[in-house]
Amino acid sequence: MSSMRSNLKLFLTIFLWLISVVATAAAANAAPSEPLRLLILSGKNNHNWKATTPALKEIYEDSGRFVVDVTNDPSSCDAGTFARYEVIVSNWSAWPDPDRQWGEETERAFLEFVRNGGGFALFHAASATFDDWSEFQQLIGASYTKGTTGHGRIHAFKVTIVDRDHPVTRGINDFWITDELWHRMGMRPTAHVLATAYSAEHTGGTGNDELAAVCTTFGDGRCFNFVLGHDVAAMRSLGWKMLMLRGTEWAGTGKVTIEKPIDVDAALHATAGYRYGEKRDALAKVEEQVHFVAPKPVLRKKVAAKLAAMLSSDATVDCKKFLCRQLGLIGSGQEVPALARLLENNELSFAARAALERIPGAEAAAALRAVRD
Amino acid sequence: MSKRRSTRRSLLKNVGAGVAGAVVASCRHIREAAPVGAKVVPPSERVTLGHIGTGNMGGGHVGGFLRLKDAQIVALCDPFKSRRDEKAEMVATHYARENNRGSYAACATYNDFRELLARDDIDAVVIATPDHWHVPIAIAAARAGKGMYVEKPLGVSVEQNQALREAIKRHGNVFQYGTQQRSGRNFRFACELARNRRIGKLQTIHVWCARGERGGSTEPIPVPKGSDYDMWPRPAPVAPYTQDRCITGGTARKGAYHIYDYSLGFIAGWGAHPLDIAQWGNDTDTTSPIEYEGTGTIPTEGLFDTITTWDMHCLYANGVRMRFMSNDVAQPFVERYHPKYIDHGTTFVGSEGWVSVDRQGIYADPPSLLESTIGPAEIHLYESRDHRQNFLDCVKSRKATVSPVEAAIRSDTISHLCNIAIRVGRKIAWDPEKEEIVGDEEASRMLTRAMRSPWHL
Repeated sequence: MSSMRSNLKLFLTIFLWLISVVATAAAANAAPSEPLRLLILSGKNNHNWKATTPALKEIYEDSGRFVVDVTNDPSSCDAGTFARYEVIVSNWSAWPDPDRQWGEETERAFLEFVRNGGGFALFHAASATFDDWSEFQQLIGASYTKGTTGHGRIHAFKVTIVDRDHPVTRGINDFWITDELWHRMGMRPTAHVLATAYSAEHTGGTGNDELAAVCTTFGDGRCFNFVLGHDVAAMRSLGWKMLMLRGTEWAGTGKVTIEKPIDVDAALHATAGYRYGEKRDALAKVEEQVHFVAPKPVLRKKVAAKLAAMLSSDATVDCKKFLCRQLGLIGSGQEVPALARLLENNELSFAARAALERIPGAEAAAALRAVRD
Repeated sequence: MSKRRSTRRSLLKNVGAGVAGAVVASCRHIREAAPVGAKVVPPSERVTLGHIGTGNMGGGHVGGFLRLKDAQIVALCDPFKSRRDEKAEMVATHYARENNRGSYAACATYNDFRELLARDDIDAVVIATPDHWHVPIAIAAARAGKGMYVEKPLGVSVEQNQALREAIKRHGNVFQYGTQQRSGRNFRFACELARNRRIGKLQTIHVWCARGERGGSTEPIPVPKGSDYDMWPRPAPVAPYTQDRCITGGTARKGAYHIYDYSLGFIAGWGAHPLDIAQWGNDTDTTSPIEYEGTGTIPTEGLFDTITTWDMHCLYANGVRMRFMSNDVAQPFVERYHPKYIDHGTTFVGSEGWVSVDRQGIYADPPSLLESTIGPAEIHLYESRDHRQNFLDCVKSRKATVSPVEAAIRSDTISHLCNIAIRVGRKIAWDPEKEEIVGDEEASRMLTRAMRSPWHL
């Protein structure tokens, strides 16, 4: 019975992680206005790139900090291609082939891009390729070296932040992840260690602390190399997302603005019991989220949908008045039905109408007209 | 539509074709009571006034207009019975004394301003209600053909301000904005020094005022007897009555000034004064800055929920920068150059000096600027000696007042855009020609506010 309960708990935890929207809030003083342009190199990997690349794209986009393109053929990229981006991210690997498959022109353009100040980020198998391309190895700082590096089975382990002053890892806590942990990686003197993980022997490991994340500088550019991220499940770890996002932003700009994520679901849940006259801190958190997502279409839609859904929950009237006010700011035609349903409700009709008056488009106008008729 | 009745009041007849004018009527009680003597302005030359809102500020206006010989207060309106009754007694006592009579019964009191505005014998109104009523009542006054003195700040939304502009354009009403600093000699002189380049090329303006209040009781209490708490908040959302909700007489620190349903807070309510002077000195009465960026704090407990402290950086199209701050932010910054800093002020900083002005004085560097005389061929700004008197004069002459509606709208806009920029947490770009926020849909939505039925623009 108790093991069923703990299984259920585990299931719920994973389920909540699966459905939660991770909205990351920008730092108070440095809210950048233009998102960074990012290109993911994909199309080949001995891991499930067909699932991990879209998952990665979504993580970047959900943060609101990046706009993302994907190419499944890096060899088609040249200097002109790279010039359109601030940061390149690799989910590409030729493993187990040692060949350099991008072609000379792409290789040259890529190195120039980073040397001239561009950012490069890569994770997991993307560092298990190009053994013979010495500049690449210099750039990534650590790699899966054939014949030396190995790994145990997938298991849950703790990632320890080693450099707590680096922009990427400042303020980030140690975290647990279920992933494939490599050991005995090849490491260059250029690599700066950001995080490690203990490789337990009983999981097939070494009994030592092994590399989890390193970074380098290369000319005027920067590289963030994340060892972890074997599959989509591992990538769902909040800690994984935070490091990958911050490492990528740092690679692109040298600075990090992406802060600890605020769970929108948790923030909304905290407002459900609000009564007029009580402290408004929980409301203020949600308001901050609403303002943050307002200029980010993908995130805004998600948050607006959640606000609208909560209108039919058993949250208090005062909470729903607050939700209506937020919907007035970021709601669209999609949220009109939920608001329109409140027009006949004595306590909420003004709040709903006020929101509908602010939402542009035919649906809102029609809903307002319908009440008059 | 105007109704012209008595030829005695020919001074107040319309000039100018096609404009709905002030209504003229005879006032029998006053005529009968007029004593023999030169000091009293004959009733035919008095502007008949109705006061809408006789609380904290409104009560002050009643007292102020009573002292002016060419005003005659005939009506008071306030949804709080005690406030209108108190002031009615003040009016009655004053006029009774003036007319050497024991009593004076010609000042009516109203709960509903619509009844007051319907009176043909009222030339002009003084609107000193909480902010959320300023524009709805002003628009109604415009449609009723009345002159109006409207307290600052202007409307609780930019959309309301634009609707007021349309109504006044259509009905041609005399309008005085409650920015009485424009009738102060020091303020005018400071602006003239700036406009006539005594400080060189104007580069930056520092503007600061008292910060907003925190706290306020959220404990519901019974509404005072005889007070209409359905009328008081009417266009705004309804909320439980508490002791700090509606301003209690005499203290500006409590009440509707700091509640977002009724007001933007002191960023508008107090900020209106030094911002207005900044606009006057910068010669930007018909426009507003094009960029707004900064931070502010909003309390999360207590009744009051408007911005309390703020630090805003604005940029005008003419290149001038403006830093608009609450006094706590301004103090360490302004004290570095200002020897007699107080909690509000406007400093014009130019390439060759600066001039700063507040209600206590005017200061400059070099100090010799203060001895400067503005020459006949130079820019002279509108001279008004008394804000209320200027209003009365213009009701009679139909000339423009010293604080006209366009200047009111353009300075009020600054408070609105600062409020929006702080709340959304982003830099806001403003197009002053189109009067639109550029490239920010969420912020643009905040330019409007719904009104509770049956009120609408």
